[in-house]
Amino acid sequence: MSELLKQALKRGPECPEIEVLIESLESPNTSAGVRRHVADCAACQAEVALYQGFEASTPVSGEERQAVDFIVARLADRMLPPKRESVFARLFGSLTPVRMGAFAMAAAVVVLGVGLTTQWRARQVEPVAETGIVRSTKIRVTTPLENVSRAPAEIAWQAVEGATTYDVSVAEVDRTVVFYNKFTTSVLPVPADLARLLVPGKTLTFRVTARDSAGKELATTGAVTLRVDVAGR
Amino acid sequence: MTPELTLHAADCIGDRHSGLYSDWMRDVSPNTSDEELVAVFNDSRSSAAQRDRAVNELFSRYHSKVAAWCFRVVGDRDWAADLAQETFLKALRALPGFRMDAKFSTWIYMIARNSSFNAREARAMRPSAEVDPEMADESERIDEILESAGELAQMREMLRVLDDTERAVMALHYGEEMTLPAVTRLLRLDNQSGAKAYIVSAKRKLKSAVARWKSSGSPERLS
Repeated sequence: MSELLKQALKRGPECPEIEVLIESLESPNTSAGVRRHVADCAACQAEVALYQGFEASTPVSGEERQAVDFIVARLADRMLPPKRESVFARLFGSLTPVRMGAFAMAAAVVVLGVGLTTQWRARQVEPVAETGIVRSTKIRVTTPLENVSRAPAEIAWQAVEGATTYDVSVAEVDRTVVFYNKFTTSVLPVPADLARLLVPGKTLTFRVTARDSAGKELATTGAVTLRVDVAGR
Repeated sequence: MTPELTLHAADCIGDRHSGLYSDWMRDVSPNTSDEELVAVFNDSRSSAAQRDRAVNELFSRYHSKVAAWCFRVVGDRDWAADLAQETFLKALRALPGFRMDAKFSTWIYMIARNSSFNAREARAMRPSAEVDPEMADESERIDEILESAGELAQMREMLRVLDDTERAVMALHYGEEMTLPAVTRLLRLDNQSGAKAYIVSAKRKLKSAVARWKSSGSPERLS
C-alpha cells in the first residue's frame, strides 16, 4: 500500500487529542475548526467511530455475546464485596481511649448482669421441644452432578419463590469461570460449549444464585461439584 | 498474567479521617451519576466501605462495554479478560487523579483503548503480509497510481470520495495497522465479508478517482 496513502490515513500533529476530540464532538459548543478537521480527517473519523462502538455495548454476534458474558463473570468474580463497616467502628470510631475504657467497663457490667439473669431463668423454665425446622438459603440441585456416568443434558434445581432470574456459573477448580448466563427458569439445557468441558475425570464447580426482580440475592446453591466419572468414558 | 484485581479503595488511598460521617450524602444507588461516584471515592471523609460501594457500582456499569471493547480488539476471550481486568486495575489506581471536568465514560474508554492497543502492539498483532487474492489485483495496480498522486494534502482530498465507513476501515487497517477481523468487530460491521468488502470498494473508488483526477487535472473535482 502506498506510503503516502498510509500517511494520509494516520493521525497527524494537527489532529486533536482523542479525549478532546470525543468530548468536543459531544458538546454543542464544538468549534467549527474541530468539526472541519474531523470532516476531512479519516483517522479522526475512525477514532469517533471506535468510541461510538464502545458506547454501543450490545454484542453484534453470538460469539461476542458469549465472550462478553465470560469476561463480565470473571470481572464480577474478582470484585470483592464491599467491606462492611462494623457497628463498633461506626459507634465508637470517634471516641478517645479514656471514654472507650469507660464504655468497655459499662459493657462488661451489662454482660455479667444479663448472663446471671439468663442462668437463673434457665433453671425456672421447662425446656421447649425443638420444631426441627431449619431455615436455609440453599438451593438444592435436583440433577445428580457428582461422579455421574455421563454428562447431563440439562441441569435442574429447586425453584425459589420470588426469584425472577437465576445466575448460573460453571468454574474450573481454580475458580476460572468457563460458563455464565442468566435464566428465568430453574433448568439449564447444557449448551454445546459447556458439554465439551464435561469430560470424564474433570472436576468443575456449578453454582446457581436466585435473584428477585431488584437483583437481590435470595438463595444460592453454593459451589456444587460437577464431575463425570472416568468409568463413564 | 495480570495481577489480581482487588477493588478495595483502602488499598489505594491511605489517608482518611476517622469518625462518623453523614451517610445520607454517601448513598450509592443505580441513579447516582458516574461523577458523583468518583466524588464519593475521592472524598477523604468517605469510609472504606463507602469507597468500595462507589467504585464497585461505578466499574460494574462499564464491565460490558470494556469487555466488548477488549474482545473486539484482540478477538480472544481469555486475553480480552486479562485486558479488561488490567483496564479496571489501571482505572482504580488512577481514579484519585481523575479530573472532574472530563466525563468518566471518556476517561475509562481511553484507558481501555490504550491498554488494548498497547497489548496488541506488544504481541505484534499486525495485518498479515499475505494479501487476499480478491484484493491483491486491486492493490498492486492502485499502489503505483496512488504514488503518483503527489502531495499528502491531495491524497487527503482524494479520500473524500470514500464514504464514512470506508474511510474508517481504511484508517484502522492501514493507518492503525489493525487486522481486518479486528476492524470488522470494532466497527460492528455485520455484512458477510466484514471490513474486507469495504477495503475492496474503497480501493476501486480511489482508483477511478485517480483516473478522473488525471484527466481533469484537479482533485477538487472528484467529490
